[in-house]
Amino acid sequence: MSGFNTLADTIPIDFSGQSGATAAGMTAEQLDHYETGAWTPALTGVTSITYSTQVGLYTRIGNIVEVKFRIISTFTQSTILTMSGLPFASGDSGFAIPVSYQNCESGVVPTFYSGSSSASGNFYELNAAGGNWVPPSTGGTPLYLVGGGTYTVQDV
Amino acid sequence: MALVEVFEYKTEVLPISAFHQVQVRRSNITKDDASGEVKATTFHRHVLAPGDDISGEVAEVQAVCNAAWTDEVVAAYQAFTAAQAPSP
Repeated sequence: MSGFNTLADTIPIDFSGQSGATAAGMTAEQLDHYETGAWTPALTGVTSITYSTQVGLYTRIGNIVEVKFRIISTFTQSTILTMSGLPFASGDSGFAIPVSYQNCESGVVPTFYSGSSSASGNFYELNAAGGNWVPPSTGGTPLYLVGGGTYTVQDV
Repeated sequence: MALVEVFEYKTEVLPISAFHQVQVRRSNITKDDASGEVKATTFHRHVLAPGDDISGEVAEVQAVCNAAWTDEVVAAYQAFTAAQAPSP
């Protein structure tokens, strides 16, 4: 494609000559990955689900990926609500993503949590009761789930 | 001239510490069928874990998974997921 400089994927951008003090704990000064694209979030743990919107976007810079997702769905029953389809497996530590929702239980603030080495995870309640989020049937009105956050990915 | 969409696949096999999960990037390439000029490219990603159903994947992705996922790898991944802490 004309108009762009192309870097071979084996040659990272080296920032080792940058000015300023080196932070304690620094482990790398090369940037070896940039990418942006789409992924498809899918809910599991539900019965008779129908999606009207199922959109995920990602941008990866180095070993950090930012994900955003938007799901509009109806379902008749749920157990533990989980989501799969993340674009990259998580690194050695888990991560949590705040989630906004509409048309569901009052007083529940769901959070998506994924463990290490995983491309899926569960929704949890951030309220006094805590624990897994088991939303009720949506009835005829769709449930909106919107969220976004960052996590560290595995190096290939 | 007509625009056609073709797909290309890139697979990344994660190290054994990540249980040889396979990251798949599908490039959706829109090109001119006459000149071959690429008009647009977008990416779509997903991750396959040892033991996943791969019957819906293209042959080249299935081949990578089948090569990476020995019985020992699948068993190790299943043991890992079973031991994962169930709450944050």
